[in-house]
Amino acid sequence: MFADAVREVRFHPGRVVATIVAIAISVAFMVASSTFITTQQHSLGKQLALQISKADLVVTAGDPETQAKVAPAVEAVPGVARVEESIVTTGPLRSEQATVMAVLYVVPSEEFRWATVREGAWPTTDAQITLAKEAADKLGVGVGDTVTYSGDDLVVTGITNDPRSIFQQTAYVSMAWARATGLTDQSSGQWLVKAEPGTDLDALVPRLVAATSALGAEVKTAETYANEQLDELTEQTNVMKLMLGGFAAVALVVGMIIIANTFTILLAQRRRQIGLLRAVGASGSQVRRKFLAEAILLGAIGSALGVVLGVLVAAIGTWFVGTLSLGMTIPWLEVGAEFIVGVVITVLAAIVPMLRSTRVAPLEALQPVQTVEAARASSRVRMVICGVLVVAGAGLALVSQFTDSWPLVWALGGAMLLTLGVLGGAPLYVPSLVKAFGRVVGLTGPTARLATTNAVRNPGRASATATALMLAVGLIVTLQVGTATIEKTVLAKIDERYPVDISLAATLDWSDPNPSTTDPLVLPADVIAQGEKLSGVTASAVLEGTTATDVNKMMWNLSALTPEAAAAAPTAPTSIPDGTIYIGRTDDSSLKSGGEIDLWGDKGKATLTIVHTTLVEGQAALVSPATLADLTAEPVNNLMWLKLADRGDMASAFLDLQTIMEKYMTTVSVGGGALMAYMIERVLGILLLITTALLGVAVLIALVGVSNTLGLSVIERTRESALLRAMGMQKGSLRLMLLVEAMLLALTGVIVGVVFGAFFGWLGISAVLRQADLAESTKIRFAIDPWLTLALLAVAAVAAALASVLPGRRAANAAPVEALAEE
Amino acid sequence: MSAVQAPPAHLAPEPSIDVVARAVDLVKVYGSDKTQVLALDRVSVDFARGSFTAIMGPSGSGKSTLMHCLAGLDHITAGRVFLGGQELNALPDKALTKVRRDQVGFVFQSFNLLPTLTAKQNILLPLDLAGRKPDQDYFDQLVASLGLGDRLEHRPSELSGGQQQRVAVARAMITRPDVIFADEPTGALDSKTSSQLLSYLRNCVRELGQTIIMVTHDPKAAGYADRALLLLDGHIVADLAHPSTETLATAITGMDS
Repeated sequence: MFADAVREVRFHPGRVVATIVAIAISVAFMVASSTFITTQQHSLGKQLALQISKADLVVTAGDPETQAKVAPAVEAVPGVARVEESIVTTGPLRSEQATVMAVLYVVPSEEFRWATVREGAWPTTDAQITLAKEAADKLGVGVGDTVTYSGDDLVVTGITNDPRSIFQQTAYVSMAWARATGLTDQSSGQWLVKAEPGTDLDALVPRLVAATSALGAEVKTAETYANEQLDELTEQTNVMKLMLGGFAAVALVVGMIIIANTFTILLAQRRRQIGLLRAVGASGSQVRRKFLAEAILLGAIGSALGVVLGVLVAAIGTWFVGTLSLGMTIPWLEVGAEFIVGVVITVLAAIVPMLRSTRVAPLEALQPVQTVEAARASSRVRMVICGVLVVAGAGLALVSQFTDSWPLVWALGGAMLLTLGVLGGAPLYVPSLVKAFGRVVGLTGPTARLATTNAVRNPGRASATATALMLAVGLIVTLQVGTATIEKTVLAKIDERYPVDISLAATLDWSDPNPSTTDPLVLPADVIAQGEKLSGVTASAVLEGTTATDVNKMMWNLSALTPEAAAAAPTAPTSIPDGTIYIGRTDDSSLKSGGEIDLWGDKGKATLTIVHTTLVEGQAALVSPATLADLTAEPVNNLMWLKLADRGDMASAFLDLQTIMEKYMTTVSVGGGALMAYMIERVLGILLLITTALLGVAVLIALVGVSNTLGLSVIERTRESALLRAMGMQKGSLRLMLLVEAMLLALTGVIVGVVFGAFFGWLGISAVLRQADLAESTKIRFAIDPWLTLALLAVAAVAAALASVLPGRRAANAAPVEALAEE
Repeated sequence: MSAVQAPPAHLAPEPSIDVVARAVDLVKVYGSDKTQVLALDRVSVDFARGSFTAIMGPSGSGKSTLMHCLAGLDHITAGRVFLGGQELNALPDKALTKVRRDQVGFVFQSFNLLPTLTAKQNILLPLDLAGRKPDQDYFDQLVASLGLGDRLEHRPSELSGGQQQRVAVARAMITRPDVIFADEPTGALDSKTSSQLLSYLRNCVRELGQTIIMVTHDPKAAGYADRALLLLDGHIVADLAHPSTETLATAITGMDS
């Protein structure tokens, strides 16, 4: 049975290439995402487990009363060679050039070390630090330079060969430093144990358990411990696998449409073969089994290719993220399941075409192949069902616009029904649409007109092809419109709420364990200088102020609002009344607008009336210059406002701001409406890019479908192509004809997809806003990115053109003589 | 079918002098090396304008091949072919295609028409491809004389075999070609429809001066022609003028011995 199938595929490889490609792409998607995520999970896990990687066993104990007794108890157990507490802390590490978040390990003793020093040495005194190469590069320091951690200066004594880290940079300090900074005052709760060489770990564990259980300790082998950590991590990140799975499902559905269409065409072309088999005595089920074998074979080939491709893509992704050095983990069980899914969907997609085609009576199949489809009576039934679905869906969607209970659910339900109705009803309107577009294109000449009639000669196939594209493109546009609408709506709100474009404020150093409560917070002079030079800035103002404390010992950063300052925030008042304090909106009942607050500055006390404003946030506040004078005799620069020429254009200014933020990570707070808007735009932009790329896979499969339909159709039309050539049609014209055919199908699919995608995007967002009770306060601003839409159209057009190249050549090269020969 | 009107003056035929198609030492070989087939072996023949020639022979004689070479449908291996004054073997593909479009008409045994077009669109296809507007009067004449008036908007699947052939003939004639090549035009038709079609073809020759070269294996069909060429194994073995069915039948049976 499979031998026949293999022969069939080998004989006509070109016919099944498109099917195999569609399956391969879908499977590759699934394999790539699960491999990539699993690899990242394991890399992260390995990183987290670096600490224990050289240990044999890990003991954890959380009771502060008994922690001191753990190490001696463990050491006393026979078979234990060494026990050591693993001490670690995290925080920002600062150099002249940059600040990074780092994890500082107290250098473990040699048998527990997982890295080696490639330059210099391990730290020994309390003023020394050794950095991983990546950390040193990021900080721009080398051996002998100084870095600051938590207020202490440390000299870099060595560089290690630690692998690239995912989140925090790696650094090592000495035990002396740990003692000097008080890190050892509290136990870390984690001990590493090295067993004597030759000791059976499984036997050792119970002995250790016995020795430490009274202390409330847990004993695990290093491997078990690492796996448990990994499992916990995996649980948390598995949600990503599910999300990617959603996208993979879309790709699979599109793939199934294509495969079903392909099988329909292939089996239609093999009607004679089927008829012959039946005439010779094969039963219907024997014929079906034959085709089932072919479907399974195709599915297997496609899935195998997909697995290889998927692993390759995951490897590239891993290399790109920089964790390839930690090795790749291929989840064989998942990959195996994905392989089977590929085969299953191929068979599922092939079932209906198979059943339909093998129900043919032997003699009927021996008639010449009808290449033009007759109108089918089933369109009546289809019209009714799809009509009902569309009306019901539209109804639900309408309800979602006006109801207060679960509008999102109504909208989703409406969207699903509408989608089913629109996609299912494709054969009813796709041919007419293609003809309509064709009429426009047909103005260019007879070739285009012929192309139009050819494109709709088989309404069923044309619809299936266009449907796949509609689905894929529709989803992309839905997401894109949704994102763009959210973005525009949110940005409008931000514009309302945050009148200041960019603000730079001096803040309390949160990394400093002993911050001064009396020194006023000053904005560094170079920050002010840089702020003024930021690209796009048209007005800047530096506000003077001081710090004052309230009755709860909370520090407030006051700044005096002057008319000059208001120039940098046009909607701000030019002055505020004496005796008032403007603070950011808060729900704190003791800080209600209209209430009073007592503040103590270095000069004196002031009682001020509270007014809520959008000009400042958090512990920052605005007062009048007179009020400031009451509180301090020596105001300092502590707030800077910048106005941009175009609030929407922050890209270049952002880079400069980033340098400021990195250097003064803990002492300057950067904010403002423009910054917020920019961050949101960037995040949404990246999100959109990723989801578009993911859905792009489905679009790719759909376009493969266009190529497929065309290619197979040309095979049927060999005699027609030859006739046209005989009658005097140039080769180039035949190729053009196929190009136009492909484009008509592709553009119809894309355009319908764009229209419905936009509608669903808008529907979704307005339902989401209603669901979140924001509909009243937030005016929805519908947005569609014209560039993305044009890009989609362009991609479809180009892909269609490419798709038509090979079929076009085949048609053009049809020898007039050969094809007209009587069979 | 009714008769057609007399042609405009410039198409007046001069049968004995004007050669519209010619083959000189024509050789056609199919395949290569071991599977080589010599389809035509140095065939030389002239066709006069306004003549109705039948090319006959058993299968494998090369009669279809001769027609394909004369019509510019196939490349020749050696020799020269002329059509309407042009040397076909010297023409590049684009020019050859143009010759087929403007100067030649085809009627095949079956599968003549594009299934996606109506009868009218099929008839006008060569003009459409050339970007020329049809002469409405001439079109109406052709349609009327072939009795296709009520069939113009139908697709080929809705026409009978005979109607399809008539549409094919109308299409072949719409460009007023130098030569019409017909390959077994009545092969798929019953005898009554066959004789109607053949009479019509003969009328076109007599009244309009159209040149027709027809390949056929049927002696009755060949009887409608003014001249019959008999081919055997790639050679012309007989050239009969005004053949009758009986003489043809004898000649053909004689070829087997």
